[in-house]
Amino acid sequence: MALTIATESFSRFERLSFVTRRVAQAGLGGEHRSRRRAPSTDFIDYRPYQPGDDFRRVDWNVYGRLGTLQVKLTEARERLDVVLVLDCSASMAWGQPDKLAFSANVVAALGYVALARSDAVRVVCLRDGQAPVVLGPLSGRGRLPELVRLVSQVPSGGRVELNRALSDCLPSEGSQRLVVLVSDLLTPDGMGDGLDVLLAQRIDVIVLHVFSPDELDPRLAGEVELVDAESGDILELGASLATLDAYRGRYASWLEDQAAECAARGVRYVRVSSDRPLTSVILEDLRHAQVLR
Amino acid sequence: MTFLLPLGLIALLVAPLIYLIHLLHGSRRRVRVPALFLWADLPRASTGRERRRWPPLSVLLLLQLMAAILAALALARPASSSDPPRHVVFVMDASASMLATDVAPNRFEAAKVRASERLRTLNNQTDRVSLVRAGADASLLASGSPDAVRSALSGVQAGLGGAAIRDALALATTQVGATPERNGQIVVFSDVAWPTLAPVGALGAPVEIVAIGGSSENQAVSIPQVRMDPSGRAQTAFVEITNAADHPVRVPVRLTADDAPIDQREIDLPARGLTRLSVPLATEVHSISVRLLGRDALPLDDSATSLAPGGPPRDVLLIGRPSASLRRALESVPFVRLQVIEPTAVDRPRADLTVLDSIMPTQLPAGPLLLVDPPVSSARFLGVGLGSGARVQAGHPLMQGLDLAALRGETPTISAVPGWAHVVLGNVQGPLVMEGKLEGHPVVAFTFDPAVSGLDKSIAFPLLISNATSFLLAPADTPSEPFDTAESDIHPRPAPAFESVARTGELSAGWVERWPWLIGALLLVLAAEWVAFARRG
Repeated sequence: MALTIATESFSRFERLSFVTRRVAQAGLGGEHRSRRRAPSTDFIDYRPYQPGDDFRRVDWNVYGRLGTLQVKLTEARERLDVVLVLDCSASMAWGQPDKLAFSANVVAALGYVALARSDAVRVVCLRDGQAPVVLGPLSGRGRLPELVRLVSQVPSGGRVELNRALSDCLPSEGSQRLVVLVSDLLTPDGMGDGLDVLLAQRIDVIVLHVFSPDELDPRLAGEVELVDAESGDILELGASLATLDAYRGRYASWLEDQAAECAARGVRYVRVSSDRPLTSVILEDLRHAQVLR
Repeated sequence: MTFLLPLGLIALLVAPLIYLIHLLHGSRRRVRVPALFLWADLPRASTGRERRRWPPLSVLLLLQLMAAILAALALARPASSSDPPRHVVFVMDASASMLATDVAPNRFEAAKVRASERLRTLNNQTDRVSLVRAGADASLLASGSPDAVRSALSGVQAGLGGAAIRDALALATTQVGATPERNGQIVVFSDVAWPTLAPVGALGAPVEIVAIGGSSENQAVSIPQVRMDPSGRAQTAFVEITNAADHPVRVPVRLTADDAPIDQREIDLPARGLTRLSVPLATEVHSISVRLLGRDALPLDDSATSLAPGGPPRDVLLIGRPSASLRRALESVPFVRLQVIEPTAVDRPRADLTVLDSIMPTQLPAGPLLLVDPPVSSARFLGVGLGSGARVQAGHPLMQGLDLAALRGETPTISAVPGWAHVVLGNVQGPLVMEGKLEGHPVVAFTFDPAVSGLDKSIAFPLLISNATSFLLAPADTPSEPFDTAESDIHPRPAPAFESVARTGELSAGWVERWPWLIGALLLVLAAEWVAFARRG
């Protein structure tokens, strides 16, 4: 079943751009700072003139005051290589509202932000035991419908091992990317190893942890058979108040563990509830977390 | 309200089964969670499977139990009556042929079961039931609500005589007539093994005959007649063996004299015919017994015992001022040693049989009694009158060899039948020959004066006296009600048609079945169960 992507609100994200800790290297034409020195309006420094320099870049006002020829250095603007990784495991298709539908909207919105800033956008959908679905690199707002079509029709199901999936999801060429992982992180083995692999490639990683309010406060009572959405395993449980209290405590502790794991690696971690309005997430939560500006 | 198919209530067993399933498997519902590892090893309440406690009465369990109960009740076809109240008379054929075992355990018990089933279809609040036993006499056993009659029905027993169906129908008509505001119905539970009934006229209610049994596989032996040879040096026993079956049979027969076997042979019997045997006996033989060794549907008539003229003489005491003919008749019985005393005699010798001629002493003599023309003023003799005496038991031992037409011309001195007596022969004016037990004494009573019509001068009189003395001096284990030999023919006859002044109708008519309402309620419960199940997830 196709997901509904609320593209009508994307115009409010027109002026946003990603905040990256790595310089952009996806080619000129973007709006992110680069280490390249190239003619632009962004002044960064002076240096003494050397033969062969463009004579037009000599600052004659400085020559008038100091009597030496100084050349103005300007910073090049490059495109950012943004990789949006969407966890499409069965656990994402759970909750009210559906975490996957919510995450698909977030990915589409982030994709729009990147395309509006002329960044190179790739979308990677992690699936159960199969090669991830990869779209891109896309560039320009005209590619937005293509991106929306992918995330609205992405199939969900099965279980995704984040460690392995994160290690394998990116092509080996290129670096200095920004990877945004949108996931509920519900995998027993965690995601630390996968993050380490990405960080080793000098990739700037942002983790958007999507959770459902039902996960925080499950409404269970009496005798239940809990069925794992991904593996189908069954756990017979007599759900008492003490059981639910213990679960809430464990879930809160697990959330903190995820945040701590990201913090320990210098990875930006943003926790988002699936019942938050999309505009609030993009304009408030992600800006507040310095993911967007 | 009653159930037309009570067996359907067996489906109620599904309800405890549903409860058992909930007990064994609990009322757990399945809940999908995004990840199970967060739930592992949490402190938790024990489940029903672990502690085998009674499952909680969840909405789903209650709805399932309700659905099962509604379905079971619908299967049992509850119905209520919309007709006016009825008065149903059950006539139970209690003749000896109803003891035939071609229907397990026998025809009479099967008839009781059928009658009980009919009782259950009646409305206990509005309907009335009367129970009439058609044995040798017709008698009303109970009348009231179906529940009140049920115990009487379970206690009724078949007799050894014939079926007074005509009297029973008359009694049933009387009962129905007593409640004219009710729809009457007469239901006869019988094997229809009767001789052709005399016309009974229009009855007060429609008659339904519930036929029980259908076999005619029966062979019978008659009571042996033993005659002393004129020479006085030998006796001969004459025995009739009859076959009621529709095909020839061969039956083994054993004869014993004074409990010692004297002969055993196989007899060929034609279809629905008889074979006569003559067996020579020694002069000292006192009793002879005949037994059919084969198995048939009615064991009652497979053996017979009779006294022989031979053997030691029996003391018979005649009290009164007897006519010469009575005295001669008694003296002519070969094994009788007669002694005659006046009614006023104080010292009465002990006797095997006492004949009271036209007297009824205050204290009855010990042993069997033959009452000849007893005084009608005796309240003890009359007792409580029941039924009509218009009856002929042609096969009764007292009637063997007699011209019954001549006897029925006598005028009885009483018109009603005493409570202690069975009528062997009677006419429309009353009983003529009766037998029974009066204050513990086996009694045969002739309620007429033989001298009035000249019977005492006919050849029938000494034969009647001989039959009576043989009957009374027979071994003590003779049943109180003698077996009616006509009952040996257990072959069912076509059920006669009876006229009724009332409209005919089926007993089961007038029921309004209520199961469609239950099915409707069941569908509602199932819908509610579906909603509850869907909401539970």
